Amino acid sequence: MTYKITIVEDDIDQQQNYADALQRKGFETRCFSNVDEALHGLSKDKPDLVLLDVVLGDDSDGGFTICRKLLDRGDDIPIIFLTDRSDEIDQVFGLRLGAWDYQTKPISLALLAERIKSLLRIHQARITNNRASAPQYENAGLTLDEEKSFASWHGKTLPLTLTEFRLLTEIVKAGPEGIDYSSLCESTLQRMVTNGTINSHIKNIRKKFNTLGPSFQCILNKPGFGYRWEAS
Amino acid sequence: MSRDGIKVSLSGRQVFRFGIKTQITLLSLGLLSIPLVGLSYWDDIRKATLDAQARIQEIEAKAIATTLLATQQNIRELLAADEDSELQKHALSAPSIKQPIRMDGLFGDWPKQFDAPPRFNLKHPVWLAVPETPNETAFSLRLAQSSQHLYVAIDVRDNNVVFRKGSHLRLDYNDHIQLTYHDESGVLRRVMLPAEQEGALASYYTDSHWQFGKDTEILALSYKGARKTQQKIASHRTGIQGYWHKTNEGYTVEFRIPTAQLNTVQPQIHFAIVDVDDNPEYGPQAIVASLPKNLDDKLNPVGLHARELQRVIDQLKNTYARLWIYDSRGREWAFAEREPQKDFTPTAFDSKCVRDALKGMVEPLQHISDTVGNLSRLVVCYPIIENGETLGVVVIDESAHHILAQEETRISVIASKVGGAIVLLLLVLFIYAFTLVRRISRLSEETRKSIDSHGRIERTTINASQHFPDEIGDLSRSITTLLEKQSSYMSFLERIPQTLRHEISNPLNKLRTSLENLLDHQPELANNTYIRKIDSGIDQISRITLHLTEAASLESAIKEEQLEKIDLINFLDDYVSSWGAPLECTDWDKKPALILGDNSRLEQLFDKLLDNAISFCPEDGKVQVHVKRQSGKITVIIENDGPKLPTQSTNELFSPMVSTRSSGSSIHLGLGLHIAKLISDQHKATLIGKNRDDGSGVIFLVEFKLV
Repeated sequence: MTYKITIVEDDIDQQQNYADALQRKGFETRCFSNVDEALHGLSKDKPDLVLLDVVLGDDSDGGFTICRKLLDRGDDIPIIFLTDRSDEIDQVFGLRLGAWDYQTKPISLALLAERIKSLLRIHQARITNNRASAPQYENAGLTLDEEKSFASWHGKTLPLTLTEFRLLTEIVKAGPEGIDYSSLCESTLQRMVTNGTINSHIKNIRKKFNTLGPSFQCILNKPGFGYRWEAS
Repeated sequence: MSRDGIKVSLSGRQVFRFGIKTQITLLSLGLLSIPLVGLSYWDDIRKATLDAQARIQEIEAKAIATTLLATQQNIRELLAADEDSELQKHALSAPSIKQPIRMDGLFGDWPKQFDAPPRFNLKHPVWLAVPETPNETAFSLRLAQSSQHLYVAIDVRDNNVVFRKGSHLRLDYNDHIQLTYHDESGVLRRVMLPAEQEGALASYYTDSHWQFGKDTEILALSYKGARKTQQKIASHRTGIQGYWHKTNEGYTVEFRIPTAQLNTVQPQIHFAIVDVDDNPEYGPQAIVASLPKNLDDKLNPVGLHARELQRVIDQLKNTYARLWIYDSRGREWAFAEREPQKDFTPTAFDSKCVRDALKGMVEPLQHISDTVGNLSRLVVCYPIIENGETLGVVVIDESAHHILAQEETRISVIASKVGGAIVLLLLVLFIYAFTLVRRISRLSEETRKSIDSHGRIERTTINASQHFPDEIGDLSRSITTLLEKQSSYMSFLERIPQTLRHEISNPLNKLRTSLENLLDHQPELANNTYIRKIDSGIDQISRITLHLTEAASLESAIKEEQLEKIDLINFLDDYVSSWGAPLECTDWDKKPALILGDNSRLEQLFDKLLDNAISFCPEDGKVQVHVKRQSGKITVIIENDGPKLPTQSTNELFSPMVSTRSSGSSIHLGLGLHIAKLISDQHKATLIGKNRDDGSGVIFLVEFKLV
């Protein structure tokens, strides 16, 4: 099956590069460079996944506008923001709008393709939820469904991003022995990830756990090394 | 607020602080010079006042003289102007006295001016029993007058005092004094004052025979009405009170006669001392009189105050200290004073002022000074001139003290008001200075607090004096404007890294994705040296943009973060275990040390410090970590061998984009220590960087407060 990817990027060169790379990976691509064109095209032909730049021409929030309108009309399409806006507030805003992932430039095309495949697989798994699911990983009230990138804590859904899910999975799998920062950086499928980036993600994960119940203290820091999982 | 007097640094110089409050205080003290300047004008005011007073006295004296001439028809009589010139030589003076004289026969209570009374002796005898026989009889005579009485003191020299015997009716068989005068009606009265005994003086009206006491008739007010009628008076009721006193040389007699009994228009009086010795029936031994023999039918003119003249000057007695009217021969015809003064010696008639006035001089003014040379009295003498003849003189005497006292009172009232105003002004100035300094201090304090120790703008609004319409208000508003502009500029500077990253990200992404596509198309280029360098360069730029935004992201992130209690010792044990050479750790005390912190931020802090220490440490050097505990504090010390820190201040060392590295292949944006500082501030910790004492390396200390 050939997945259709819609690329919305106002820089034609980057747009072309994404398209070339994804086409080589077997995806079918369609490209738009502004909000109106994109909304028009997306209404005519629903893609399997959308790559959105936030700044489109003079419209500094064009990507957010497209995301909101797509989700408002009930389209269950994985959306990845691919932007130069790296502020945390932009990331939080984008993810709250309903995007599946938020990637800051510069990116690696190879890793981008991997992320796209991963998201499509997850999306497919979630669509076919009634069918037999892949094996789940359970630990001390935490359930991780890697196929669907789905996590729950004592039966309650943890609204994690793809990167957060991958980090949590790696930490839980490493157990009390822990996992180092470099391994965690690799698991994000991103370039230029620092320890600080990992720490920020872990803080977000902890926050999300804490919103579901009592004080969560299973993810522990190993100073100077990385993180570990203590089920107790 | 700094205090005055302490040394402050000014452009590198140590100078004493000289605050506005002190400056205004000193300037205010200058106001005190106003009363001092005013005081210097006091002499001028004194002189002007005395000159004015002299003019007034002169006018007043002139007015009195003119009034006397205009109102007193008998002015010539009153001033005895037409008196016989021969008789005038024997005129008697009766100066005014202020205090009553005690009638005791002793003259010690007479004023000093009476110390040299006129003496009468055998040069003035009217009768001698045996001519050419030596006789010592003589007498001195003192006369004085008050408003009520004429006082008389007679000192008689008589080597044989013969007293009156009780059986004798005759009054002339003993030593006695014959007193003759004109009464208020102009009737000639004769009174004998016999030597009877020590004590109260006896006196008797008598007739021209001078032998027995004789009852007399006088014109007196009846009991029932105001009409005067002739009344018979016993001979001994002369109205004279006095004292007879025996002395070694003779005797003294001191007595007083009511002036109401005397005629004050051309008053005259005569005294004769009758010396009676062993055979009184043969008559007296000698008679010494106050007039020579050739004038024995006359009486001595005496300067008794003329009631008519007295009335004129009495009207002014409350205005001036003293007023006199003298005749041309120096007899005092009227005297008035504001209030009696014990020790005051009246102006002598013989003064230059009076003499000049009688000569018709045009400047009848005399300034009298006290013993130390200060002006004490101001005397004006104005002649009474009729038809070109000087009949007398009006003298007005005023105390300089009294004249100036009024001015002094006025000046002191003005000085009090001016002083009060100055004190009030000083008070207002002090309050104003205090308010001004307080406003400036508040403005200074707020301005200081608007920027933190790292130079970051904490707030852009200055409230102090913001709404005052004055220069300080202008300054406050200017500072607010300045802070706002500076804040905008700082925001711009702070956003530069993010802006740079935004601007670089797209072309970088274009390069990155293009390179990846190129290598996908032509895999054989993967080993191409230039392609690898391009790849490495793109990575390097990517890392730079990442680091650039790290500090800015951190600043905004830590504002939201909550710190929790963590055991720093436990943290450090875990943390250092992941580090290898050249890190060496002292085996520190494992007792827990709880601080408020965030594990990942502490990790980031020590990462930066250790990265920094290791990067400067030579290959054969080492990096050491110690822990030092103090009361309520714990300090983590990281020191490394290697080059010293440049001589920069600590703040500069932790400023962003400050690097001491000259070159190298790694990226050094000078953000590491800045980030470490941000995190230590978040933990309320103190971060200090310094060189080792021996210069062999660098020490960084992070001091945390224990909880």
